[in-house]
Amino acid sequence: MRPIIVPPCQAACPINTDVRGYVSAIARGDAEEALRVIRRVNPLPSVCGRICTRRCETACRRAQVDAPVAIRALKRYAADLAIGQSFFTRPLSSYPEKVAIVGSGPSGLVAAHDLALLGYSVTLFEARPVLGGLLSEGIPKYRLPKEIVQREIGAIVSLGIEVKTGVRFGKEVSLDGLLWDFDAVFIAVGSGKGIVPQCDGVDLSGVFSGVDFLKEVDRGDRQAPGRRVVVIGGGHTAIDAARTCIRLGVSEVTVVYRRSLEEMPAGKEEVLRAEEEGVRFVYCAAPIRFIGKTRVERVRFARTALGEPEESGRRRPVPLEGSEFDLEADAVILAIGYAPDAEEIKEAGLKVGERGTIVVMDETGATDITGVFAAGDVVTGPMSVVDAMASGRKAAGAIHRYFRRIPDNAFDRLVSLRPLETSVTAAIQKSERQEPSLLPREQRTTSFDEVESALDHEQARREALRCLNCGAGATVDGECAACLNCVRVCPFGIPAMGAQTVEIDVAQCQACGICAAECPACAIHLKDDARYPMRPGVDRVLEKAREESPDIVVTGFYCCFRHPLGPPVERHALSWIPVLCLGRLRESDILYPFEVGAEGILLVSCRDEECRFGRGVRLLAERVERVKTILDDTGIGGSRLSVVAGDDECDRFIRGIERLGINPVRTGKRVAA
Amino acid sequence: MIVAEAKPFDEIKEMVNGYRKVLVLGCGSCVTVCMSGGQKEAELLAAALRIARGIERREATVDAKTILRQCDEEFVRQVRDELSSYDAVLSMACGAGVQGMNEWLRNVPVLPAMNTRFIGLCEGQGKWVEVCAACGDCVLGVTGGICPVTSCPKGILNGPCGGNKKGRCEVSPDVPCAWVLIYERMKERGKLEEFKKERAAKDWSKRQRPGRYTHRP
Amino acid sequence: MTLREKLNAGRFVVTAEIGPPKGTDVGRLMEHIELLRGKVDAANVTDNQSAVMRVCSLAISVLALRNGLEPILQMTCRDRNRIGLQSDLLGAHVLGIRNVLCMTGDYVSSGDHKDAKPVYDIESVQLLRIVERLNSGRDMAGNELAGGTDFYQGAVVTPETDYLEPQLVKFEKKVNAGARFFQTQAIFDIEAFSSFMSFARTFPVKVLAGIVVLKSVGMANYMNRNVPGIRVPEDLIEELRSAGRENALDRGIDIAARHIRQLKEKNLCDGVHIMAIGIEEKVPLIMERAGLL
Ligand SMILES: Cc1cc2nc3c(=O)[nH]c(=O)nc-3n(C[C@H](O)[C@H](O)[C@H](O)COP(=O)(O)OP(=O)(O)OC[C@H]3O[C@@H](n4cnc5c(N)ncnc54)[C@H](O)[C@@H]3O)c2cc1C
Ligand code: SF4
Ligand code: SF4
Repeated sequence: MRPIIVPPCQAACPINTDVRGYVSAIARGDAEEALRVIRRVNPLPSVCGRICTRRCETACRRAQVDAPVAIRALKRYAADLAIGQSFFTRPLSSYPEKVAIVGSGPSGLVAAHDLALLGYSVTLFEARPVLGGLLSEGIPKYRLPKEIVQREIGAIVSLGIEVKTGVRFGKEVSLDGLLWDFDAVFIAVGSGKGIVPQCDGVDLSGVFSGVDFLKEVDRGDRQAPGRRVVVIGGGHTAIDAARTCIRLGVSEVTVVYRRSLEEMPAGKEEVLRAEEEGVRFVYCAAPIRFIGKTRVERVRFARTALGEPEESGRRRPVPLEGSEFDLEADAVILAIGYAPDAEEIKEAGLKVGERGTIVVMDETGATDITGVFAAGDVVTGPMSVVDAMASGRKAAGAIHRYFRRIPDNAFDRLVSLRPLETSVTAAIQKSERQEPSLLPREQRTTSFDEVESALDHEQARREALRCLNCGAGATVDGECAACLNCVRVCPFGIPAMGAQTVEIDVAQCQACGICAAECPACAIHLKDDARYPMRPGVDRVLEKAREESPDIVVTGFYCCFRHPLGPPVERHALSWIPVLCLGRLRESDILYPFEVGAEGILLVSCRDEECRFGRGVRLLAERVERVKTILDDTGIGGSRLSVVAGDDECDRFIRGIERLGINPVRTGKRVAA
Repeated sequence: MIVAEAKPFDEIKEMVNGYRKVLVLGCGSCVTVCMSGGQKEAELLAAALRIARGIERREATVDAKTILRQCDEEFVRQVRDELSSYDAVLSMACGAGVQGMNEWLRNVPVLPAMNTRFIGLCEGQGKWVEVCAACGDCVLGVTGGICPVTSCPKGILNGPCGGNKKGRCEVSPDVPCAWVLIYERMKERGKLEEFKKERAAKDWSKRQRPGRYTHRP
Repeated sequence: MTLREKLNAGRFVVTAEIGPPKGTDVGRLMEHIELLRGKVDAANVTDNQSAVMRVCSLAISVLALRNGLEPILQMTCRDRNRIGLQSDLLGAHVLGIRNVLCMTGDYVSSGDHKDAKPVYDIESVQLLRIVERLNSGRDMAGNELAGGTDFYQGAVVTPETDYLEPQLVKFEKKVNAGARFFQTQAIFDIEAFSSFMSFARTFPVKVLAGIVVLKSVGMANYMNRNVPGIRVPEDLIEELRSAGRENALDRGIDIAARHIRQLKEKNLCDGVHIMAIGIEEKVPLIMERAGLL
């Protein structure tokens, strides 16, 4: 197992999305490339862009400076540009093996997608008439519009997957039957059964499970359950059920949770949204009985105190003697958890674990029956969409190896970069997180319209530029002469002398590129340099500009931090090259366009004190002076190079260049200085 | 460390005027460390020469390359064949490198792109200061480790001249008076008695040129 | 009586300064010699002062001597190595010069041949040592001379420098190296000077206080800003200002005379060295107002 060091966001993501990769693509305005990066690992990007539990953001090191990058919102921004568009096609050569996949939630879908792309014939069995599992029926549509889910599923199915809906495993088909027809079976039937508390009165009518309630709502079978609804629980399901009730017109909705807000798995943001919509919250109370004749009328609660921490790390709520109180209710929604249907599994002959889950051997999802694999919520109990996807991916890989008799060689281990040191965070410029806008409150309480909207272009670019590009920084090669210039010039104090050469700690480097531009030995390279191929980029841009403007071509380098939306101005004669801080331009980068025939070069940088990396602009100014001298010396003339700030300055510069005329490199005429 | 700086561009251009195919050869040691003659500068100078020649419509083969040291034949030998395909090599090494190269590369003229300046220390990013004059008769042991021969323009040995003002040198207010520094350092180290000792005139025969050093005479 | 004799006899002496011309025309110089003869006890002949190339101090010293004004030959280490310096010293002695003032010398950058290679083979302390050596009949390398010298050698000191401590160490070194008398850089603060003198008096040397005539407020400010070792106090500048532009020079002469009088009355030093740059002709007037004539 060889450890691969990746940014914390990528290490935290169960499907190891190259977050930095797509965020930086958005930062330079290449949303298409961003989507390609996302799609490489994620066939449900528009879904994840809305409802992913975003472990990446919890891990994001930007949080050490101010707030994490809004990664999920950026994913949605990129993904929504091409919802349901197929990026990959089924391979021409295919394997003879056939795979049955039972359950079409995220776990089953990803496994189907991966196996189809590997070249297997895949048949998807689903008990319900629609595909998608909880994505289609369960997670409310004001968070996840159903047409989005269907379009993404459509793209997956179009890879040549055979779909059998309305077929219930254990009823219409059996495991033995499937194993007869198929070479492998993958079970991802999720966790469908609500957990019921052990107290009096749970059988009263008007008391029902949250998951069932939400599913019914999505199927269109549900009206408002009552006038006064009490929801018991503190997870996604509880909040979703409460907010759904509001939308169904319930006038009084109260969520009762046995711990405090801090411990709530749903998260503060969700609670806030619910409160905005009128949901009431009662903390530190647990139900002890449901009271009513045939239909529930009241619920009796006991106040709780938080005791010793339990296994999960959260503190155990202990009911307090004599603290009982009642809440009136004509419907009670239980959202204290759900579990797989143990009976179904047992009948199939699979080994059942503690909470009704299928017992698997390891990460591969292999069960004790050869050729049968399982993953998703049915194995783990309720988790999250992205976890289900990750497990589906692993199982697909395992099935492939099983067929091809490839030994289960160990997976690469992704290791996260260490946290930033405080000396580094202190030197990083702060910048405000961009938040997606929300539907007005009145609209939220009366319809199931999607609440959150996507980031607009400007927000997305700005937000993407907040990414610290963790781990994409500088590396030092063997040409290092140990001159220590990098040590002296780095705004963050990161390079340090090693045994023979300078060493740059990849975990701390901010990828500003300043040291690389100063290195006299050309021994420092930026990992993301490949994405900014300076010279070929200039050649391409110049060639294009020459077609449009045969006489005068001005090459402009602009700082993306200053102009997140793209070039500051558009002009015929101007060809732009975006750069993440002009402090990374060497003298030779600035000189190069002249060598290949540009008439002028324009540098649009930030103001000195605004430089994202502190000293980039100052160093740029020094280098520009140097290049101007070279231009004077060589006969091109230093006035063909300028650092400017505003639009009119751009125009004035272009006019000046028009007066100066053709680059003498092209005409061979030396102009008097 | 040896510090060198590039000659004015016009002088360099003149120098290589008669040669069609030119290689700008950086040196990977001292001049890389002082930022004036490493690969980066070699590339930049080559680009500038290409541009200048392009404007004059002249053969513009000017390449850039760097080797680890130009002052030892072994390093030069490794690239001798490659270098021989050029009409001239423009060396960015110190004077030692240029002379060594001329000696070992008989068939190609090696021209100096640099003015070799001094033996120096870095005093901040991109700044170097001369600290040793290679006088052959070191006095640092009695001057608190600060060299008056180099750091005092007059190189005097018995204390400051009357010209220092506010601790700055008479010759240039940008530099500190070396003798003020020496006095302070020696005071700090409790060595004022040493400071008061009269120093005899220097033995300049030690500096007779060309200097020679034999490790085991 | 020679300068040496007068000082040894405890007389309060006055020296002035004459600058060799740039070129061979010595007309004005002769006028200055004429003016000073019989009034001052000796005159310093500067050695390519401020590194500006002029007639050599040796030639002008001889000229002064022949015209009845006792010269003090100034010698700097900037333009000659130890061989040149010794050979010039021997030559000077042969031509009858006895007083030498040993200095390191201003750097070439302050002069009119800025690209010259400065010599500084030796410096002031070592030059004093050489003179001492020549007086004993040997050269610097220890070779015996066919006839030694009998120089009366002096040195300079800057009592009003803003960083005195190492200056005092150097003073002591010069004394030990054989300096018999000192001429100081201009002094303006009698009190500060007297505290310097209480240090200097502990050595067996004669001290001539440097007197510079203030010509205007502008000159005083300029010197404060630019000339090392000179500090014109604010009250003197005020005094000049109150005299008005017209009368500033006259008031400057008054101040110089007053200072000389104070130095003499309080017996603070052994004489004064008047540096009247550009107004050499005013020296007699200063002496008169100081009560020295
Ligand atoms: C209300 C709610 C809100 C949630 N919100 C989020 C959220 O915001 N973010 C997040 O990441 N996660 C959320 N989750 C969790 C997430 O939805 C699940 O972890 C994930 O869907 C599990 O995927 P899965 O493929 O294992 O199972 P499921 O999505 O449950 O899919 C299982 C599929 O199997 C089918 N099936 C079941 N039994 C059979 C059978 N016998 N034969 C054939 N088919 C069968 C089902 O019909 C279903 O289609 C939420 C869950 C709930 C309940
Ligand atoms: S600047 Fe370049 S050559 Fe110098 S120490 Fe850093 S990496 Fe090495
Ligand atoms: S200068 Fe920039 S790129 Fe180089 S080590 Fe520092 S942070 Fe990284």
